Amino acid sequence: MRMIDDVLEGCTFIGEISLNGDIRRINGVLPMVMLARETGIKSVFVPADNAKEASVIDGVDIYAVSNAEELIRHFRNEEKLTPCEHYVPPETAYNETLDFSDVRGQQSAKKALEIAAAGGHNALLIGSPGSGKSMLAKRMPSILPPLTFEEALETTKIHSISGLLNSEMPIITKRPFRAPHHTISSAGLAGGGTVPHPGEVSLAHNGLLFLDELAEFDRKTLEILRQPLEDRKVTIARASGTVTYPCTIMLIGAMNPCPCGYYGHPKRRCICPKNKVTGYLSKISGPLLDRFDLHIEVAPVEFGDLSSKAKEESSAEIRKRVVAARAIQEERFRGTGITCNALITPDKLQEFCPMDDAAELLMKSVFDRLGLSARAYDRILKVARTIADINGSEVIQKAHVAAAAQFRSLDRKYWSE
Amino acid sequence: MFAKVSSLGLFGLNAFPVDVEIDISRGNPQFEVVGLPDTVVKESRERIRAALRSCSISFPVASVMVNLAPADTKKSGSVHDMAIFMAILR
Repeated sequence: MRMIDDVLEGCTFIGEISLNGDIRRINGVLPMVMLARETGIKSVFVPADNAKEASVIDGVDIYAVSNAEELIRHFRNEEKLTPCEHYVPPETAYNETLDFSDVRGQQSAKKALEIAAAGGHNALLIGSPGSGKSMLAKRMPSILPPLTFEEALETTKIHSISGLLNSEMPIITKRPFRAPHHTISSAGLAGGGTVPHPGEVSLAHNGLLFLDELAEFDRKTLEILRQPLEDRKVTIARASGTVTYPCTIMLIGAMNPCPCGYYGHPKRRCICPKNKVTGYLSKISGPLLDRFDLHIEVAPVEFGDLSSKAKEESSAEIRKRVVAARAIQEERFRGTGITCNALITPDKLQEFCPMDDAAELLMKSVFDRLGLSARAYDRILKVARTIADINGSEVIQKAHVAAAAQFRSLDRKYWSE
Repeated sequence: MFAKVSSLGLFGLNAFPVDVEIDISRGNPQFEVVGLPDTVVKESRERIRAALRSCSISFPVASVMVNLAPADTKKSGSVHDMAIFMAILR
């Protein structure tokens, strides 16, 4: 047709055209532009709506096109489009509406969640209805450390292909917080479909996956989490091909100890027959339970705490300690590819988690007494590492091991009878 | 007449380069897309036809054959619309 004469060498085009010639936004622009840069393409023409997301990548000229006429005029040299400026995501101001100071009392649970945030550990909250489990978990984003640019890109890629970005939020700058309802299917959680889509575990990559009412989830669905929690990635094989999505997540679960919710309550009597309690708890399998580093019992709030006028510690203060502990970890793991204590690989455990003699002795007795699995041992050690980091200690001391081991005691209370 | 325009495809998290090749030759007027396109890609024919008209360009009365290379990888979605459009204009 020769409507345009200009050479298209080094140009690539992505975008949907509508009947009137408008160019509409598409999903997955970020990974595509990243590939374009790798393969040496100079100019990428993208829908105007996707332009910000695309121009996060430096080194390629991004042209924002809003309709086909513009494209034609550009190549006929009538009216040239100008490449978009490189988009640098603004420093996200810290603004969380949910704050830990809203939660009265619950000091030990708050401390445990601080440790979880500082080391990226998984945590399980167990308690009676209304004790504040969900309230605590929903405030976790307010104390999570900021995303690094590399992490932000990885997370944004997943959100990009899932079509969860828009022009107001072209790049994810905050750690994602995903809280799917317990009716979620296996494919929804881990990912799936004929062309496999990322599931909730991958959408929470580099952030937090919160499963409220853990025992109400379909048991099969929960068991799917086992392997992704260990490998930090999900590989989905379907007829159309095999896809691997990363899922470096912090898992927070919350549940009641029994159907009525009051099993083990200090004042109210549980009305569930014994077998119902066992049945309810057995929905969480041993292997899954083993993957929770911190088992947190959320005790009912005391009246004194509720009516107290004392000011609770704010999230900003807790976050400061979390960020400080993460800075120590960053220094320690420089060049190893590990980002937080929870991700220490078994071969590096000895090197990064030195214990003093007393701590080692305690660890041995804990291991023997509690009949720990090898994984539980590793995980206690990593939690102890995080507690030592929060306290600014180079070597793991006895107190740190004791505190870490205490967070593994809940399964004895509920699951071992 | 042959023209080639580059585009990008996506499978999972991995993008891959796609060459949109077009051959416009004399023959029965038709517009075909080959190269393992899914329904969305096939439907881009109708979108492009209308989009060209809205730019006051009439669709070529010729046999238009579009190939999305590599031909053995499945292409999905409306991503390639713009590249096919450009290829026709060439």
